[in-house]
Amino acid sequence: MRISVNGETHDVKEQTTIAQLLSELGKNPKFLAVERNRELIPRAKHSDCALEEGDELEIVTLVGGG
Amino acid sequence: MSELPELSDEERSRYAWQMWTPDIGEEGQRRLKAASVLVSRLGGVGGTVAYYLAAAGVGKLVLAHAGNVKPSDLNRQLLMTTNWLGNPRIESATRRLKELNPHTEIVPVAENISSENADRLVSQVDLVVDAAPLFSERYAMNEACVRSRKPLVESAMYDFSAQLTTIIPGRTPCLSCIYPDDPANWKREFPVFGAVSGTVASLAAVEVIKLVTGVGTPLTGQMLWMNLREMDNRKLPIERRSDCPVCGSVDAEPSTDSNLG
Repeated sequence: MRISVNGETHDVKEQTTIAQLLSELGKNPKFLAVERNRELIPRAKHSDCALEEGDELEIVTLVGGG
Repeated sequence: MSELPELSDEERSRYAWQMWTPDIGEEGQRRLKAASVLVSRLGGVGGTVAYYLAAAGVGKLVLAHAGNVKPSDLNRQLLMTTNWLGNPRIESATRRLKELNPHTEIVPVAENISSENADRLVSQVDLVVDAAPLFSERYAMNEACVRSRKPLVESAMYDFSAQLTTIIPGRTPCLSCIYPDDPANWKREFPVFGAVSGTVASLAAVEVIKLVTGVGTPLTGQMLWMNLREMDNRKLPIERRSDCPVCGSVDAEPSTDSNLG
Protein backbone atom coordinates (compact mmCIF):
# COMPACT_ATOMS: atom_id res chain seq x y z
CA MET A 1 0.00 0.00 0.00
CA ARG A 2 1.02 3.57 -0.53
CA ILE A 3 1.70 6.08 2.25
CA SER A 4 3.47 9.41 2.45
CA VAL A 5 6.45 10.08 4.72
CA ASN A 6 7.51 13.71 5.09
CA GLY A 7 5.78 14.45 1.80
CA GLU A 8 7.40 11.60 -0.15
CA THR A 9 5.51 8.53 -1.34
CA HIS A 10 6.52 5.16 0.10
CA ASP A 11 5.24 1.66 -0.65
CA VAL A 12 4.90 -0.53 2.43
CA LYS A 13 3.30 -3.89 3.19
CA GLU A 14 -0.24 -4.09 4.53
CA GLN A 15 -0.43 -3.90 8.33
CA THR A 16 3.00 -2.31 8.64
CA THR A 17 3.29 -0.67 12.05
CA ILE A 18 5.01 2.61 12.79
CA ALA A 19 7.73 0.72 14.67
CA GLN A 20 8.35 -1.44 11.59
CA LEU A 21 8.38 1.57 9.31
CA LEU A 22 10.95 3.36 11.50
CA SER A 23 13.07 0.23 11.49
CA GLU A 24 12.83 -0.06 7.69
CA LEU A 25 13.84 3.59 7.37
CA GLY A 26 16.76 3.04 9.74
CA LYS A 27 15.53 5.58 12.27
CA ASN A 28 15.95 5.38 16.04
CA PRO A 29 12.51 5.91 17.62
CA LYS A 30 13.92 7.36 20.82
CA PHE A 31 14.82 10.65 19.20
CA LEU A 32 11.84 11.07 16.95
CA ALA A 33 8.32 12.34 17.04
CA VAL A 34 5.94 10.62 14.65
CA GLU A 35 2.77 12.31 13.50
CA ARG A 36 0.16 10.27 11.62
CA ASN A 37 -2.43 12.27 9.72
CA ARG A 38 -1.49 15.25 11.95
CA GLU A 39 -1.91 13.30 15.18
CA LEU A 40 1.13 12.55 17.33
CA ILE A 41 1.54 8.84 18.00
CA PRO A 42 3.16 8.27 21.40
CA ARG A 43 6.32 6.21 21.32
CA ALA A 44 4.69 3.45 23.41
CA LYS A 45 2.08 2.92 20.69
CA HIS A 46 4.45 2.69 17.73
CA SER A 47 4.31 -1.13 17.79
CA ASP A 48 0.50 -1.23 17.93
CA CYS A 49 -0.24 1.39 15.32
CA ALA A 50 -0.82 -0.27 11.94
CA LEU A 51 -0.67 2.02 8.97
CA GLU A 52 -3.43 2.34 6.40
CA GLU A 53 -3.49 3.18 2.71
CA GLY A 54 -3.05 6.90 2.17
CA ASP A 55 -1.69 7.69 5.63
CA GLU A 56 0.38 10.84 5.81
CA LEU A 57 3.30 10.55 8.23
CA GLU A 58 5.62 13.23 9.47
CA ILE A 59 8.75 11.97 11.17
CA VAL A 60 10.48 14.68 13.16
CA THR A 61 14.02 14.27 14.40
CA LEU A 62 14.46 16.00 17.74
CA VAL A 63 17.39 18.43 17.86
CA GLY A 64 19.49 20.06 20.57
CA GLY A 65 21.64 22.82 19.11
CA GLY A 66 21.86 26.06 21.08
CA MET B 1 4.81 39.76 42.12
CA SER B 2 2.68 41.82 44.48
CA GLU B 3 4.90 44.90 44.58
CA LEU B 4 5.95 45.82 41.09
CA PRO B 5 8.79 48.31 40.67
CA GLU B 6 8.04 51.78 39.31
CA LEU B 7 9.29 52.93 35.92
CA SER B 8 11.42 56.03 35.51
CA ASP B 9 10.66 58.57 32.77
CA GLU B 10 13.69 57.31 30.89
CA GLU B 11 12.35 53.76 31.03
CA ARG B 12 8.91 54.87 29.85
CA SER B 13 10.55 56.47 26.82
CA ARG B 14 12.73 53.46 26.14
CA TYR B 15 9.87 50.95 26.24
CA ALA B 16 7.14 53.22 24.82
CA TRP B 17 6.54 51.30 21.61
CA GLN B 18 6.13 47.93 23.32
CA MET B 19 3.98 49.48 26.06
CA TRP B 20 1.59 50.46 23.26
CA THR B 21 0.70 46.76 23.07
CA PRO B 22 -2.83 47.04 24.51
CA ASP B 23 -2.54 44.23 27.05
CA ILE B 24 1.03 45.11 28.08
CA GLY B 25 0.91 48.79 29.03
CA GLU B 26 2.74 50.14 32.06
CA GLU B 27 1.78 47.20 34.27
CA GLY B 28 3.18 44.68 31.80
CA GLN B 29 6.39 46.66 31.61
CA ARG B 30 6.64 46.73 35.39
CA ARG B 31 6.21 42.95 35.42
CA LEU B 32 9.11 42.66 33.00
CA LYS B 33 11.20 44.94 35.22
CA ALA B 34 10.39 42.75 38.22
CA ALA B 35 11.30 39.56 36.35
CA SER B 36 14.51 37.56 36.50
CA VAL B 37 15.53 35.02 33.87
CA LEU B 38 18.37 32.51 33.68
CA VAL B 39 19.74 31.85 30.19
CA SER B 40 21.84 28.71 29.80
CA ARG B 41 24.58 29.45 27.24
CA LEU B 42 24.88 32.56 25.17
CA GLY B 43 25.48 30.98 21.78
CA GLY B 44 23.50 31.50 18.61
CA VAL B 45 20.24 30.87 20.46
CA GLY B 46 20.85 31.96 24.07
CA GLY B 47 22.82 35.10 23.22
CA THR B 48 20.02 36.33 21.01
CA VAL B 49 17.43 35.46 23.67
CA ALA B 50 19.41 37.51 26.21
CA TYR B 51 19.70 40.41 23.77
CA TYR B 52 15.95 40.59 23.20
CA LEU B 53 15.17 40.17 26.91
CA ALA B 54 17.52 43.01 27.79
CA ALA B 55 15.96 45.12 25.03
CA ALA B 56 12.50 44.33 26.43
CA GLY B 57 13.51 45.52 29.88
CA VAL B 58 13.67 42.28 31.87
CA GLY B 59 15.00 43.39 35.25
CA LYS B 60 17.62 40.74 35.87
CA LEU B 61 19.40 38.27 33.63
CA VAL B 62 21.52 35.48 35.10
CA LEU B 63 23.73 34.33 32.24
CA ALA B 64 25.74 31.11 32.22
CA HIS B 65 28.41 30.53 29.60
CA ALA B 66 31.98 29.28 29.93
CA GLY B 67 34.94 29.69 27.63
CA ASN B 68 36.59 32.31 25.47
CA VAL B 69 35.43 33.87 22.20
CA LYS B 70 36.55 31.89 19.15
CA PRO B 71 36.45 32.98 15.51
CA SER B 72 33.88 30.26 14.77
CA ASP B 73 31.48 31.80 17.33
CA LEU B 74 31.07 34.96 15.33
CA ASN B 75 28.72 33.76 12.59
CA ARG B 76 25.85 33.50 15.08
CA GLN B 77 26.76 34.50 18.64
CA LEU B 78 25.73 38.12 18.37
CA LEU B 79 26.96 39.07 21.85
CA MET B 80 30.53 38.11 20.94
CA THR B 81 32.70 40.68 19.20
CA THR B 82 35.81 40.38 17.04
CA ASN B 83 37.87 42.59 19.34
CA TRP B 84 37.18 40.17 22.20
CA LEU B 85 38.59 37.05 20.49
CA GLY B 86 40.46 34.91 23.00
CA ASN B 87 38.81 36.62 25.97
CA PRO B 88 35.91 35.37 28.13
CA ARG B 89 32.60 35.12 26.30
CA ILE B 90 30.69 36.13 29.40
CA GLU B 91 32.56 39.48 29.48
CA SER B 92 31.75 40.23 25.85
CA ALA B 93 28.12 39.31 26.44
CA THR B 94 27.82 41.44 29.57
CA ARG B 95 29.36 44.45 27.83
CA ARG B 96 27.08 44.18 24.80
CA LEU B 97 23.97 43.85 26.93
CA LYS B 98 24.97 46.79 29.11
CA GLU B 99 25.57 48.89 26.00
CA LEU B 100 22.06 48.06 24.86
CA ASN B 101 20.26 48.51 28.16
CA PRO B 102 22.01 49.69 31.33
CA HIS B 103 18.79 49.19 33.29
CA THR B 104 18.98 45.40 33.10
CA GLU B 105 20.97 43.84 35.91
CA ILE B 106 23.38 41.24 34.54
CA VAL B 107 24.63 38.42 36.75
CA PRO B 108 27.49 36.89 34.75
CA VAL B 109 28.39 33.27 35.48
CA ALA B 110 31.45 31.98 33.61
CA GLU B 111 30.26 28.38 33.86
CA ASN B 112 28.05 26.08 31.84
CA ILE B 113 25.12 24.39 33.55
CA SER B 114 25.81 21.16 35.43
CA SER B 115 24.16 19.19 38.19
CA GLU B 116 26.54 21.00 40.57
CA ASN B 117 25.41 24.56 39.82
CA ALA B 118 21.92 24.19 38.33
CA ASP B 119 19.90 24.41 41.57
CA ARG B 120 21.88 27.40 42.82
CA LEU B 121 21.41 29.33 39.57
CA VAL B 122 17.74 28.41 39.12
CA SER B 123 17.04 29.60 42.67
CA GLN B 124 18.03 33.14 41.65
CA VAL B 125 15.37 33.56 38.95
CA ASP B 126 11.68 33.32 38.10
CA LEU B 127 12.14 31.26 34.94
CA VAL B 128 14.74 29.75 32.66
CA VAL B 129 15.58 29.62 28.97
CA ASP B 130 17.63 26.62 27.93
CA ALA B 131 19.79 27.03 24.85
CA ALA B 132 22.62 24.64 25.67
CA PRO B 133 24.13 22.54 22.89
CA LEU B 134 24.73 19.50 25.09
CA PHE B 135 21.97 17.26 26.40
CA SER B 136 23.81 16.70 29.70
CA GLU B 137 23.38 20.43 30.40
CA ARG B 138 19.77 20.40 29.23
CA TYR B 139 18.92 17.44 31.46
CA ALA B 140 20.57 19.07 34.49
CA MET B 141 18.60 22.25 33.85
CA ASN B 142 15.35 20.34 33.35
CA GLU B 143 15.79 18.47 36.62
CA ALA B 144 16.57 21.67 38.54
CA CYS B 145 13.53 23.41 37.07
CA VAL B 146 11.26 20.49 37.93
CA ARG B 147 12.63 20.43 41.51
CA SER B 148 12.00 24.15 41.93
CA ARG B 149 8.78 24.21 39.82
CA LYS B 150 10.17 26.98 37.61
CA PRO B 151 9.02 27.38 33.99
CA LEU B 152 11.58 26.37 31.40
CA VAL B 153 11.57 27.49 27.77
CA GLU B 154 13.35 24.80 25.74
CA SER B 155 14.80 26.17 22.52
CA ALA B 156 16.88 24.13 20.12
CA MET B 157 17.93 24.01 16.50
CA TYR B 158 19.99 22.03 14.00
CA ASP B 159 20.78 22.98 10.44
CA PHE B 160 17.54 24.62 9.19
CA SER B 161 15.31 22.98 11.81
CA ALA B 162 14.17 24.60 15.04
CA GLN B 163 12.14 23.32 17.98
CA LEU B 164 10.55 25.16 20.86
CA THR B 165 8.36 24.26 23.82
CA THR B 166 7.55 25.77 27.20
CA ILE B 167 7.72 23.42 30.16
CA ILE B 168 5.63 24.13 33.27
CA PRO B 169 6.72 21.43 35.75
CA GLY B 170 3.79 19.36 36.97
CA ARG B 171 1.51 20.58 34.17
CA THR B 172 3.32 19.88 30.91
CA PRO B 173 5.77 17.27 29.66
CA CYS B 174 9.31 17.91 30.86
CA LEU B 175 12.42 17.43 28.74
CA SER B 176 12.82 13.89 30.02
CA CYS B 177 9.24 13.05 28.93
CA ILE B 178 10.10 14.20 25.41
CA TYR B 179 13.59 12.69 25.26
CA PRO B 180 13.68 9.57 27.46
CA ASP B 181 17.31 8.93 26.64
CA ASP B 182 20.33 11.04 25.87
CA PRO B 183 20.62 11.11 22.07
CA ALA B 184 23.76 9.04 21.66
CA ASN B 185 24.90 10.55 18.41
CA TRP B 186 24.40 14.19 19.31
CA LYS B 187 27.55 16.31 18.94
CA ARG B 188 28.35 19.67 20.45
CA GLU B 189 29.16 21.06 17.02
CA PHE B 190 26.37 21.29 14.47
CA PRO B 191 25.53 23.13 11.23
CA VAL B 192 24.05 26.53 11.94
CA PHE B 193 23.35 29.90 10.40
CA GLY B 194 22.87 32.74 12.85
CA ALA B 195 19.62 33.58 11.11
CA VAL B 196 18.25 30.14 12.03
CA SER B 197 19.45 30.11 15.64
CA GLY B 198 18.22 33.69 15.93
CA THR B 199 14.77 32.70 14.69
CA VAL B 200 14.15 30.19 17.46
CA ALA B 201 15.81 32.60 19.91
CA SER B 202 13.35 35.35 19.04
CA LEU B 203 10.45 32.97 19.57
CA ALA B 204 11.90 31.82 22.92
CA ALA B 205 12.14 35.47 24.01
CA VAL B 206 8.49 35.95 23.02
CA GLU B 207 7.59 32.98 25.22
CA VAL B 208 9.40 34.62 28.17
CA ILE B 209 7.60 37.91 27.60
CA LYS B 210 4.26 36.06 27.52
CA LEU B 211 5.04 34.05 30.66
CA VAL B 212 6.08 37.16 32.58
CA THR B 213 3.26 39.45 31.47
CA GLY B 214 0.45 36.91 31.25
CA VAL B 215 -0.26 37.94 27.66
CA GLY B 216 -1.30 35.33 25.11
CA THR B 217 -1.03 31.57 25.39
CA PRO B 218 2.31 29.95 26.20
CA LEU B 219 3.52 27.10 24.01
CA THR B 220 2.79 24.43 26.63
CA GLY B 221 2.09 20.78 25.92
CA GLN B 222 3.11 21.34 22.32
CA MET B 223 6.35 21.51 20.42
CA LEU B 224 6.67 24.08 17.71
CA TRP B 225 8.64 22.44 14.95
CA MET B 226 10.01 24.64 12.20
CA ASN B 227 11.50 23.44 8.96
CA LEU B 228 13.04 26.66 7.66
CA ARG B 229 14.20 25.00 4.46
CA GLU B 230 10.56 24.84 3.40
CA MET B 231 9.18 27.45 5.81
CA ASP B 232 6.92 24.67 7.08
CA ASN B 233 5.96 25.28 10.69
CA ARG B 234 3.69 23.20 12.83
CA LYS B 235 2.82 22.50 16.44
CA LEU B 236 3.02 18.88 17.58
CA PRO B 237 1.16 17.89 20.74
CA ILE B 238 3.48 16.32 23.33
CA GLU B 239 2.45 14.27 26.33
CA ARG B 240 3.65 13.72 29.88
CA ARG B 241 4.95 10.27 30.70
CA SER B 242 3.42 8.96 33.90
CA ASP B 243 6.59 6.92 34.44
CA CYS B 244 8.91 9.87 33.82
CA PRO B 245 11.73 9.57 36.38
CA VAL B 246 12.06 13.37 36.57
CA CYS B 247 8.52 14.74 36.69
CA GLY B 248 6.26 11.67 36.92
CA SER B 249 5.50 12.27 40.60
CA VAL B 250 5.25 16.07 40.39
CA ASP B 251 1.79 17.60 40.70
CA ALA B 252 0.69 20.93 39.35
CA GLU B 253 0.68 23.85 41.73
CA PRO B 254 -2.08 26.46 41.75
CA SER B 255 -1.55 29.04 39.05
CA THR B 256 -1.10 32.73 39.81
CA ASP B 257 -2.23 35.84 38.00
CA SER B 258 0.60 35.64 35.48
CA ASN B 259 1.53 32.82 33.16
CA LEU B 260 4.41 31.99 35.53
CA GLY B 261 2.21 29.84 37.78
